[in-house]
Amino acid sequence: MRARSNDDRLQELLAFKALEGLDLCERDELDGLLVSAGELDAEAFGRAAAAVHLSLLQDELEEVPSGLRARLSQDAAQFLRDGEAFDRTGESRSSASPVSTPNTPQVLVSRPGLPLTAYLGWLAAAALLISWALGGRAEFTSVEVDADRAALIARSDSLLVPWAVTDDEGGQGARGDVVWSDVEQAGYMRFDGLRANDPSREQYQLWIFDAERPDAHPVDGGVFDVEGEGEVIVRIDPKLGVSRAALFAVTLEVPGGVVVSSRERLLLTAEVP
Amino acid sequence: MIVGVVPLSEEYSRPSLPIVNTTDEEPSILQRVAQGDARAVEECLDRYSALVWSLARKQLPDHGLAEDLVQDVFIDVWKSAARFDPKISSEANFIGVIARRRLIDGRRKVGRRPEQQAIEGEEVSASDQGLEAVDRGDEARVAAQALEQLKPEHRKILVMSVMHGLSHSQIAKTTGMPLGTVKSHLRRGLEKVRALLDGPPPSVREVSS
Repeated sequence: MRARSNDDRLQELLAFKALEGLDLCERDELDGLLVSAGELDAEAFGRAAAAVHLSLLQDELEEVPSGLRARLSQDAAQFLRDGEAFDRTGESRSSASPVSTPNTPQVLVSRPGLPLTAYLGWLAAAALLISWALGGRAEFTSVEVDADRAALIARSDSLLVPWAVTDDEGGQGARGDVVWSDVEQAGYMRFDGLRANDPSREQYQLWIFDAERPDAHPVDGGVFDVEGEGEVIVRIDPKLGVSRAALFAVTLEVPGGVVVSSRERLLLTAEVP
Repeated sequence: MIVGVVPLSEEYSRPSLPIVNTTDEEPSILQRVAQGDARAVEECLDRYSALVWSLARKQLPDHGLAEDLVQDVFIDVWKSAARFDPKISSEANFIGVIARRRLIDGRRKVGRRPEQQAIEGEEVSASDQGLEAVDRGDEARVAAQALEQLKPEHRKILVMSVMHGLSHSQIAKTTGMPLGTVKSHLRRGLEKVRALLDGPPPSVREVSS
């Protein structure tokens, strides 16, 4: 009875998502239901809504303004040339400036923190920073992330755990969750209310505590920034393999992150039950 | 004001399923886009830009916002092209899903348009003519058939939601229906379309692969 009720609510949320989108609470609820639903076609209602929409278009489509058509071609040409993201002026965004709206979250990729070989110290950190600055950061569209994250949540081997704030003032008011799969070695962090940081002064860093590693040596889950307000989704890209994730923790560190955190600024934790 | 549906001709009453709009031997436009084919990108714009532009203009009165949205949609399309699977959807539908996501985000960002503006004096119908002329994907034909089968009140509010982007509460206010009824009708209407598109009943469907 309970399972049927959950399935009914799941279908309802998927339908409403396709029709008018979901608010933050509904998204949380949907994520929770997807965890227990098993694998399912979460995009089916979206395809149905699109089919209805296209069927309702009148025969005479509006002609695309010539200026817009030209910009679309420019965007496309740049895509082929760079394979990178674009802004509306057609200029490549070498550094991420993701748009943040209530339903279009910032989409970032956590980058590896400092190398684990401690003796390289800040020299290596500087090299990494230069590398990141030159190479930019990979970006994913909200559509891709939405689909990938939903697919990950729906996997039977994935886990979804909420963030808990600590006593540190830096994390107060923040909420969200972590979805992670040990099998896929992939996951996403979602934050809402985590304040924007100044990357020149400090950066957030993720740590993944592996049940099969000593607690003193968590896996560096990468550094990341939060820009502006709204929901932020950060793709986890750990440098080392994680056998069995037990705890996720976000600290505030110096730019570029650290090899070993003092854990003085431990802001958020997500413990796997 | 009537939101109705023009009866469909027999020609479109028996769409074939599953929906596949390409062959294994011949890569689709989006598959060629994913391979970095410059000509495919232009072909994609030639074929679908007017479709996306028309979707945007129907819901976004602001010309500039509509242009921005179309650019965002196609950037998403280029990035997502590798995810296109012709066994799951047509290209038009794939792009339509992306466009609708952006529209929904945009509506929530700037606020919804005035309630009556979208539907006053406008009769909206599922089009049974010119579907060959404009590539909307085979799914659109199936959806048109599904719309025809819906009860008029269900069809009406589904059109309000999908075509005009009215919120559930706006539809309730406009039609005088209780909010719960609106939600129920919308869901059933969309489930009907989904059922015709997918085949299995509208419950959790295990992915066969």
